[in-house]
Amino acid sequence: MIYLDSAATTFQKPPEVAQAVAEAMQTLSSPGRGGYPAAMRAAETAYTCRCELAELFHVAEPERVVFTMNATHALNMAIKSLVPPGGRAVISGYEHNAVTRPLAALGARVSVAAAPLFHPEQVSEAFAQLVVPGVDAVICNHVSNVFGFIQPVEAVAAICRNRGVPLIVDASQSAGVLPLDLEELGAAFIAMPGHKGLYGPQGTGVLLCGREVRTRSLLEGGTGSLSLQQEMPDFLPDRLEAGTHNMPGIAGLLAGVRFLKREGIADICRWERLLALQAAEGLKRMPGVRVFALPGLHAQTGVLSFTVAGQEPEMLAGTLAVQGIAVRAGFHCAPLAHKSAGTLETGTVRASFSRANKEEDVRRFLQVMTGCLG
Amino acid sequence: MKFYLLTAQSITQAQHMQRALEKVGLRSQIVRAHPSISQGGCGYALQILCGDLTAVLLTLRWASVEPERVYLYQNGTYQEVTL
Repeated sequence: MIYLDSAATTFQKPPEVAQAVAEAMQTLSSPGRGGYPAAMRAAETAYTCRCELAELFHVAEPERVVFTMNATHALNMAIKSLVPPGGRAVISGYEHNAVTRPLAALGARVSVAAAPLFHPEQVSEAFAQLVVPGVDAVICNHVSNVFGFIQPVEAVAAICRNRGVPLIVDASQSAGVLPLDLEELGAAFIAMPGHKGLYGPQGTGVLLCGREVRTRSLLEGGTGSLSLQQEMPDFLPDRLEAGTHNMPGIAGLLAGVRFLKREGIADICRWERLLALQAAEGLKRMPGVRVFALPGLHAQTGVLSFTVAGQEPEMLAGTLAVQGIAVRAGFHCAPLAHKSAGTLETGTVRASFSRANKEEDVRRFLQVMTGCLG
Repeated sequence: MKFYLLTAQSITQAQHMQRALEKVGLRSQIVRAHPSISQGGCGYALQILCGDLTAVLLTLRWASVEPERVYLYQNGTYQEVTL
């Protein structure tokens, strides 16, 4: 199988990730519960993972690195910490359902900072128009999961800082691919999955919390601390980490983050963009194929959407799968992004790359695509 | 036997303190806090192995992480050390 669906999850992990998971199953019990060696080893692994993530994303205190089940879990915690029922939120035009659905569930009044695809300066202008004091939160995804569009979170963060409005960054597609600095952005929260660009296992995610940001627990339960009180602890990470930790997952995440640091984020991004560019250029030469990419992949990472005239994306993806090419098709849990890009009627086929892909994967993909169009 | 114990509100805070001390060569061990010194139940404490409480506390203050309370354990009893 040629796997081109890393925007869903990086299926091909470095071998040390699975090894770490297996070892954790055999050697780690639950951190923060006992004082015996297996519990302390678990605690050490969890803390080391927090420290590695804190270093990667420039978080001064490891306590502000919170483990979650995935980015959706992290986003829910962030959004529900800041936006009360019926509150006000400003979002980009490319948000995932992991942002829009919690806001809908809250009955929030949502304003969309609409802008055309691959025009970051217009995104900034749109946010500048809408972000005013009194808005409960701004939520902006760093990179669109459908189109790979890199949104100007630094500019959006500056607008939010100047106007005293908290910012939540959805880094689902950018963590491990683009640099992210929590302290510099001054964001209230940055949410990310552990199983995409961080190369950890599924079932892991991270929520980075800004200094003195108010947090609201989504789950209440045991934390291994202050057990005699019935309120959740008012300090991090305990306040947001009720229940037993996914230690095999966290051990695997630690291995993934270490791999990422060895490879280098800049090199990974450069590689993914190179492959996406090769794919885009090859697809653009095919009749009837509409590729959502500007020349040189301006303002875009290694996530590439396309459509083929007269072919349903799901049918095409099915044909590709039979021939060993794994892509995703449809709306990618992001109808708002499709609405913004004008693809709401059909959705798109999406190819997305990781460090594990090779140039021959792109050649084979293009070869199979040529056959599909023939 | 006597040693100092620095109580922490969570295992994570205890680890933060331990790492801060390790960086300057001050040895410690994370232990479960005895119920008599655990403020809210189910706590952890840092047992100081190096004996130099002043250096420990200065290091932690510099690292912006401070214990909940400090106790001296001696002859089977815990006595809070007023800072």
